[in-house]
This record gives sequence, C-alpha cells and structure tokens, in this order.
Amino acid sequence: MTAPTLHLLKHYLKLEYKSKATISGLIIYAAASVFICNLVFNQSINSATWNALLWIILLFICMNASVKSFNHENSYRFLLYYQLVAPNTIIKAKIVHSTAIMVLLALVTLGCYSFMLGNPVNNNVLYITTLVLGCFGLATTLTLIAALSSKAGIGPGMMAVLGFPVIIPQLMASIKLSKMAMDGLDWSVSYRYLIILIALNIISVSLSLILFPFIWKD
Amino acid sequence: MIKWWKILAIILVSGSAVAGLLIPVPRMPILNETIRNLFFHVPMWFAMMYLLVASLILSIKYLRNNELNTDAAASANAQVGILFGVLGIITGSLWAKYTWGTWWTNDVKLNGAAATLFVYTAYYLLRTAIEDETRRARLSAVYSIFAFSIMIVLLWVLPRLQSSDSLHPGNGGNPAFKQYDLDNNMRLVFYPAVIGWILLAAWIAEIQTKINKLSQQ
Repeated sequence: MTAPTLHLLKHYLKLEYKSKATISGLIIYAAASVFICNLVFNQSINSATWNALLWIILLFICMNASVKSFNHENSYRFLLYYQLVAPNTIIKAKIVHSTAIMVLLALVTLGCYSFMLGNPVNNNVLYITTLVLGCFGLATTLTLIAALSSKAGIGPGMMAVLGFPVIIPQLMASIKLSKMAMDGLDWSVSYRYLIILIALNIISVSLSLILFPFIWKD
Repeated sequence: MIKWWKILAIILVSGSAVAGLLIPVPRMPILNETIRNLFFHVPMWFAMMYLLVASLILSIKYLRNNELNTDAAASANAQVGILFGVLGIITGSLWAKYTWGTWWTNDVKLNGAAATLFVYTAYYLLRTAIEDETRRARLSAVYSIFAFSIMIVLLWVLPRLQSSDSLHPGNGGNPAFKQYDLDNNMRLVFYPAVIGWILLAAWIAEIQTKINKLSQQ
C-alpha cells in the first residue's frame, strides 16, 4: 500500500473516531439484531440455522455499514478528494477501512450471538478465518455497490436491490466454509471452499480497482 | 432488406422445432418423451450466454468510447438476455414437473440461474432509476461488467463445485447429452437448434437496440 492510501485511511479512521455515532449505531444495530433473533427463535435452533442466521445478520450489518460509507461524501468533499488523490487510492483506503469496521462488527456480533444462542463451533481457527475472509468479501463488494449507488443518486433500498444478487456467491461460499468449520470437518474437505472464497475475494478486489475510476469520474 | 442470417435463423428454429417433436428419440427411464426438451431448453441458455457476452463486450466498449449508441446496444442485449433466461427457466421448470415431480427444487444449477436473473434484473432497475443519460450509461456499464463476473461464478463455477448433490442432467451422475449423444439423430437437431436460437436472439437484440436508440432521442 502506498503512502497516500495510508494517509487517506488514517483520515477515514479519524473521521470515524470523531463521529462515534456511526460505529456505535452499527454496534447497537448488531446487538439488537442478535437479540431479536434470540427472541424469535427462542433458543431452539439447530447448528445449520445457527450458522446461516449469523451470516444473514452480518449481511444486513454490512449493507448498513456500506450505505453509510459513501453517505457523507457529499458533492463538495467529492470535489476536494477528486483534486487531491487518484481514484484507486480512495477505493483501496475504503476497502481496508470498511473491512476493518466489518471485522470488528462481526466479532462483536459473534460474541453477542454466542452469548445468547450458544456456540457450537468445533474448529474456531477456521471459523474466525472464514469470518474475516467473508467480511472482507462482503465489505469489498458492497463498498463498490455503495459507491455506484451514491453516484447514481438512488436510495438505500435500491442499493439492497443492486447488492444482494451480486453478493450471493461470496455469501454461499462463506456459509458453506463456516458450516464445515463448525462441524469440524477435515482440512482436506474444506480447503476447496477456502480457495474459492479467496478467489472470489481476489475477483472482487480486482474488479473494484478496475471499475471504481469509472464510477468516480463525473 | 432481410439479411441471410435472419433467414437462416427462421429455417433453423422452425425446422428444429418441428424435427424436435417428430424425430425418434432414445427411450430412457423417467425421461421418456421429455428428452425432447433438450432441443428447446438448452438452446435458451446458449442464446442467453451469447447475449450476455455481447452485452459485456459492448459495456466495455462503452467505457472506452463513451457513445450512447454502444450503451443502447449493451442494454438491449442484456434485456433480451433476461428474456431468454426466463424462457430457459420456464422450459426447465415444465420439464422438472414431469420428471422430478416439482416445478422447482433447490438445485445448485437452478439457484444459479435464478440468481443470474436477479443480477440482470437489478441491472435493468439501475438503468430505470438514473435520469441522466451519460451517467446512466457509465454506471450501468460498470454494474454490467460486475454482473457478468458474478454470472460466470454462478453458472460455471459453483455448479461444478457442488455437482455431486445436483439432480440436473449432466451433474451428479445423471444422464445428459454426453451419455446419449451417440444418438446422431438428436445431435442433428440439437446443434442446428442452438445455432438457430442464437441467431434469433441476435435478431431480437438488434430490434431492441433500435428501439432503445429511438427512445433515447
């Protein structure tokens, strides 16, 4: 990563720290979703549902977080960034920033979730790895979609319409792999899905780097 | 003036439709006469793939030349691609009703096809949501390129990965074209049907392009 990217990343994190409302709002959102799921399922939940439900919660959290990530980029700040940095710098910083936020939120969610609904995971290392990789994939793809929908001037509802279909492969791969980690399956079974998930993430990142400049220029 | 390939499309599609219903086919258990669906269901996906690849190429071309005509063609190809995807799902669903006993199952191939349709419907919705023409063209070209890569994963990668738990012909040891393609009669109808439907799809896309161009003015 280059110096301007790091600089911009620091700037984003500083902004995040200054306006604590965003991140604390997301944490409350995560905790409240877990609590609602706990009430709805009334603690009678099998392990497959446990895993799928966690990913659905993460998907909605990530959707909310990404909508916010380009929300405050109003037209004046767009202009300022446009003069200061290259588009690729912005998308790189955004990807790292939203991945960091998403991993943090995922760990908080997993903590609340395990606290309320129990934790049937057998292979914790693989499960956390999947969580990080899956969050990276969700954050990358949805950041690009958020940039696109913010430039298109369409609401957050439309962003869900654009985002949900394109997230399906990464979400399915994450769910499969984390289910395998949960059941404690042998490494020889799960490595294929790990490779697929990493490959999907690489595709997402490279498409973001290629396509973001076209979204950015006006 | 009507071009030669359009006449060829008419001949191949109508010919393969008639021949597809009339030629003798191998008697397979469960499949029976539904085996003829090969001549109608599979060409739809070939036509859809052709249209989506064309849409991808035109979208990339738009990002390079910024001409609204290219964008009109790219969106027309995607629109007709959705149509052929829907036709593919309907023909497949009819077939499934008679062989699997249900209109829809949670098969990896079926889900991939449905998800592909969602992706391209979202592309179409994105186009209707943006007012400004050049912005619509640019942003939907970007989404289209992203959508295409997702489509490749959904239709070409994931079904191969989970092929063992698929009921679809050609997956999980179910009979498919490879098993009965020794039957040269079926090949003689199937290949012309594929070419004919692709040509017909290109023809419809050409008309849709003209409509899109006119509505831009």
